[in-house]
Amino acid sequence: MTASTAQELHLFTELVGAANVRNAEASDAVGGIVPSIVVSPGDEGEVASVLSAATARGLVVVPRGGGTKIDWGSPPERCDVLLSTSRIEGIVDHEPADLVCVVRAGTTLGHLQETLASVPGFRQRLMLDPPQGGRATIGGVIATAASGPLRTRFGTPRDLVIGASFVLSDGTIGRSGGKVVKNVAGFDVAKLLVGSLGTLAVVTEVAFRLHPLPAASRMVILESRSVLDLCEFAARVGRLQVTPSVVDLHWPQGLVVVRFDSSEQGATLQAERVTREIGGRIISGGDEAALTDALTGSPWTGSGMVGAVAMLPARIGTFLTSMSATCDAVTLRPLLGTGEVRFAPDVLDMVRGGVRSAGGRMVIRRGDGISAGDADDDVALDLMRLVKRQLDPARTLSPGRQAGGI
Amino acid sequence: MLDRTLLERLRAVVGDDGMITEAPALQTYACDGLTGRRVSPAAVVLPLTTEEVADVVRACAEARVPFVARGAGTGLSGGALPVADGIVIGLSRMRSILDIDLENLQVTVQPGVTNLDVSKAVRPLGYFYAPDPSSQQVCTIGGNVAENSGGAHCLKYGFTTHHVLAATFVTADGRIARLGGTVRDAPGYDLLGVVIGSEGTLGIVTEVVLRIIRVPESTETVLAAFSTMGDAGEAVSRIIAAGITPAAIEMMDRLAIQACEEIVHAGYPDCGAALIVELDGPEVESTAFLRQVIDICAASGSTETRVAASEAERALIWKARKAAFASMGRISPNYYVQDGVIPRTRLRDVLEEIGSLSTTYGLRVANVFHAGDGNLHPLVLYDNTEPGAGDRALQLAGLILDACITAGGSITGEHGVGSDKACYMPKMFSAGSISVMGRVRDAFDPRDVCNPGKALPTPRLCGEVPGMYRPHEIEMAGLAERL
Repeated sequence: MTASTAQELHLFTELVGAANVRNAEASDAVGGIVPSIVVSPGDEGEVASVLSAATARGLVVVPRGGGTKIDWGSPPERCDVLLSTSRIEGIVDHEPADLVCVVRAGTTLGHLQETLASVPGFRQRLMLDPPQGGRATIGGVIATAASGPLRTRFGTPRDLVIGASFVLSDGTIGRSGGKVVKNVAGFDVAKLLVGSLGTLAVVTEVAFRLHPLPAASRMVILESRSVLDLCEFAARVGRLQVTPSVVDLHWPQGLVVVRFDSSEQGATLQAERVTREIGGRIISGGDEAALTDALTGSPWTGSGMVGAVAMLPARIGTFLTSMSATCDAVTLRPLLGTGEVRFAPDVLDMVRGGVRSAGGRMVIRRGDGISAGDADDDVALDLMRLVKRQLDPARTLSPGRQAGGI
Repeated sequence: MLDRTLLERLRAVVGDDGMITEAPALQTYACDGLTGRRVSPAAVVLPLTTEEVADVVRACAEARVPFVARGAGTGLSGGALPVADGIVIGLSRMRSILDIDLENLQVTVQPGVTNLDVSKAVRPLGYFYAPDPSSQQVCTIGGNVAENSGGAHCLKYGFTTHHVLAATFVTADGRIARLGGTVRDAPGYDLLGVVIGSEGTLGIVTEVVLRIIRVPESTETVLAAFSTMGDAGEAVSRIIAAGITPAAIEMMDRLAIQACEEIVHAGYPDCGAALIVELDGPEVESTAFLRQVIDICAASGSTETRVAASEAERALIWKARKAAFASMGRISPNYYVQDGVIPRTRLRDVLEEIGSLSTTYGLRVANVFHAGDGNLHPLVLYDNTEPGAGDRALQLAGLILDACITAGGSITGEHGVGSDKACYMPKMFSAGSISVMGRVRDAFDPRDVCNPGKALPTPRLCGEVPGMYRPHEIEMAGLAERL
């Protein structure tokens, strides 16, 4: 332990208690950077004092939730203090009849979903299912803007957040939005925090809009070895007057999975309409469960690099045609043009080329060269830098993690 | 007085026909839908392109002259109120639909395109643009972006922020940026997310890419009558709690129904409260939910339910609802329209509180509102010729907002903070929260020239009281209604 680390330990111990400060270990590394110490404040007041103390001493703080996506974004320039949100935990408010909840940032998504699903008379859910979602914390999901298959119908965290509380690096405690679903009072600062990769503020509490758990689900799948058939099938589902929760394309499985969540009759009749008018087949029972299990975590399971891709929905056919033999696994939301691909490091340039020729972009989420990507527009990037300078002028929070080295 | 060099510089950008400097013509731009507040600008410029907007903004910023962007001026919170001796940048001449991309379900428009024209352009193809503010015939997409507009159907479909993919944006110092992207997940901060709903205080959008969605297969509309507002409120809470997401749930009280019937004759039952519930989606879903809604209404004490049997019947139900604000003139010489939000579970309590405030103040309050998302629009009726009545109406309207805040709600659901409610912001947000918003604004507009004094409280503003309602010209001409 260096002398300065000992001083920091002492300083933060005074702020949050000895039990909540420790020396960092190799497993605490963020993007390969090992912090000096790990501090776990218990509430927003302690977050504020930790952040102001760190800022006053020129220390860099990187917030961490469940750590499931701690490597997303560019590696931080430095990391002195890892701020764990694990103690800022619990559901503050759940008004089931209003389909709204307020939850602390360190709560895991898994815990939240279990609680929401188990209120007598109200079985509800936050309609977010990001990869490694069970152990992911609410704060981490906000910071990474992570989403999963449900995105097709319910969007990303930005679409479901109705309010947020946060702490800036100078200790300012702020809130935007509220706990009502309709509200245009004040700037929507929470939108800036979604996907900010911990560079603007430490989120301490989030209010979400919830949805009821569906009474029934029906799954339609189309199997084909032709990527163009798969793309065409998905596009036709998009044009049909049905409301699927999930439309995912999986390769090399050669599958499009369409899921309807509704009443028993609503789900069944919509699924039947797809098979009757477009094709595919309904699967249920053990087959459905087995398929769901097999696809969960795809394309993350297995070795290699993972990239998040985005392109115009109309270009996914072009992309997949060039990538079907190059990538080891592809999961796309064809109606949105987004998804993730897994591939061996030696084909990185080919994958980049494939994305480029489809007019899309890719950011690396696992493997060498992991980054937050590059901003598309220089003036927009300048505005982003100005926002960062206003909210975190000392660059205390996760410097370098955001696009453009912010 | 404005420096003549700036005026000449602006004239060089937009030409003589894009420039208004004569006092009578400037009056048209002196207010928005909040007609009680009027300020004449030094000049109005009407640019035609993004580059012209950027040139105008740059000229203003360099001269440190404030500017205010304006669409159709239908806003109800004074968000487009000019700054004295400042410039109004009218975007009404930028009204082209630039691209309809059905393959990717995106439409690119200029900011002066009206909301309804977007849906009109794509409806024959089987698509629509979801946000539908009540002024949609005249209000513009640029204004919708500024206000994060909703509408009756945002209960199911969300607000403007959920339907804008990208925008060309002129910064407060006159640079041109591209925010968001037609390809999703643009790296970096979601600047577009904070620009939407910032009431024109961060910059000006000059091109907007909107998401369009498939027209639903079927729509069902039911009108349910109740003896009391409390019962109707209870039905709303139960519908939401049952997990049904109707496209719209609107509520009207007896006073509002009576006023509408005088004008529209839609045949609403004579009752204490009426609910309009609209369900859309795949036919199988909307019909099943319709049955469930009717059952819930019955269990909550509805005295009658009437399902629209045809498109004409549906249109008539909505016509009465949409005429509600305009019809207030039949029952009161003046009225103040309030806009507040409460958690949907608190409808019964807050409506009762509004009732007792009405009794205490001796002023009638008509309620017409978006009940499904808890967005109240109490209309405080008064007679301006009666001494002190206007002030009492404002006080009462203010107490209704207090009740909304106490119930855990918001001071505005859709009309915006503008210049009208800036002083209420500290009731809802801590000084720290407001300072963070101020810092975001400083990042975008350090010179404080882009629609200054709106959305966030300033000491100067907060010595003043909220504005009083007077009908807007376009409303008087029957071109728009307030909901």
